[in-house]
Amino acid sequence: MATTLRPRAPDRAPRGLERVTGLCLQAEPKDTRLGDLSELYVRTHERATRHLGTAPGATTISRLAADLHYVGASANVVMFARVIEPVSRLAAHGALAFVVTDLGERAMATVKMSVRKLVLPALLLVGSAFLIHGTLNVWYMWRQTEALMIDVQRQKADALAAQIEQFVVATQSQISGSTAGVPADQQRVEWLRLMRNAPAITELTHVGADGKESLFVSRLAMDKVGRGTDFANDVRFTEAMKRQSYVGPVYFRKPAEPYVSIAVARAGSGVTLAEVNVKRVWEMVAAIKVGETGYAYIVDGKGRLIADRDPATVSSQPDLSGLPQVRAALAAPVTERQREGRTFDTSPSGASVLSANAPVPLLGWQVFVERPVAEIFGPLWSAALRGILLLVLGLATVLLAGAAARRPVTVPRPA
Amino acid sequence: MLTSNEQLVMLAILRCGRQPYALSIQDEIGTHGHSLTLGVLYTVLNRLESRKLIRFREGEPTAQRGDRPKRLYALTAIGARELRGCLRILDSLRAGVPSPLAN
Repeated sequence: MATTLRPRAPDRAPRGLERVTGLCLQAEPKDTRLGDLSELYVRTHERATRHLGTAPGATTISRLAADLHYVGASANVVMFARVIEPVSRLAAHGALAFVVTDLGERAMATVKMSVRKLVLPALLLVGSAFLIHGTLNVWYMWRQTEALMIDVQRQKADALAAQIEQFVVATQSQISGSTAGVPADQQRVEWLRLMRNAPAITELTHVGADGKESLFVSRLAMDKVGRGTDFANDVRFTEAMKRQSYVGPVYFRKPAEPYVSIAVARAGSGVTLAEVNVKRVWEMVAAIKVGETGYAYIVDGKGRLIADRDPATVSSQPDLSGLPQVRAALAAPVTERQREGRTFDTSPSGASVLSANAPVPLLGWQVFVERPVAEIFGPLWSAALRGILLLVLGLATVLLAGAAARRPVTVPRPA
Repeated sequence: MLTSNEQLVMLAILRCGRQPYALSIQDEIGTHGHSLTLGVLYTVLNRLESRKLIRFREGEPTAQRGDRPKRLYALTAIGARELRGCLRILDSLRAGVPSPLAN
């Protein structure tokens, strides 16, 4: 059975305190005043223990109370023995001695009264002022830190969104540039050159205005000319014909090979379809660093995870639309609450985070940059807790001193 | 002539019974609504002792006192006479005073 070791109650005053008092009093070790003070120490400890109990923390406070009382009482004894008594002895016998004695005795009462009526309320007032100031300060710092952090994260999210969009626009531009003004018989050569310059493009297909495939160039398969596959009902073809360009959803050819289809309409002569490897986007996401453990991830228009620092997580494309920040971002791409700088949310792993997001309008994606709240506000909490602890200790000391000044802390003799 | 504190201390010594040492004297005064610090109490006791109004003997040492003896006080005959004289004056003065000081 487990047992708890409790500190033993003191059976006498600490020898160190007694030695100091003895030196100040110039007293013999067996001086009865030292005995009285030692007994006073034990009584104070017993009284404090009766009030506070015997838990380890309470025992420490009881010892502290006994120490403080001992120091106060011995200082009082020393003052009278070493200052007031010699002065009264120096004064001549008679009226002067009487007055000096009376004044000396009253001085102590005045000091106690002053402590109780002036010093303690003043200390309590100052302590309360510090407490209020500290609380306001922590709140103000909290808000400032929050605003600063959300700003930093939003900038990173914006930058990442811009980088992704630039990557897609550049790829679209390369695709349309490779077909503009190129004769049909030289198209294959031109696309081979394009693939050499743009490693993300894996396959290129030309679909004529009638929806029939006329050329297929691939890094992974045999090139085909005039195969005639029908794309007339393919969403890539129909959307590109309608809106000049189209970017499809992310799909995986292998667990770690994300792709998107990019289709660009060719003026008067059909559509160019390109299968583009977007692993580069994963690298951009992984390169984002925010603080110690901050991270970025991207969801598509339906809230499915499409890029994360952990590729293994992305390959299963988990649905994150249940997360409050994702839900809000999908509902309104640049949320009001983000502008207000209040975006405490839950991370995919369930931790509380400060989250900022930026849309990639061309793709319908949302970039999220998040940092755990514990990491951001940890140092602030530590500082606040230290301050509160010091204030509580200070106030406790003032209250103890107040209790000590109110009346002698001795155990009343049993009737 | 005795100061008020001297009178308080001498009365407390009489009330303490078998163990009239500094802390019990202080407690006795405390239970009657007044307080004296140890410094004041020792000063008063020393003064009374030097004027032969009280005397002391040493009691048994105890562990909680660090094996130091108690100093047990008692009034001397002169002290008792002096206190009686002071209290008689006080009683005499009080006796003629009408309310609000009358019991």
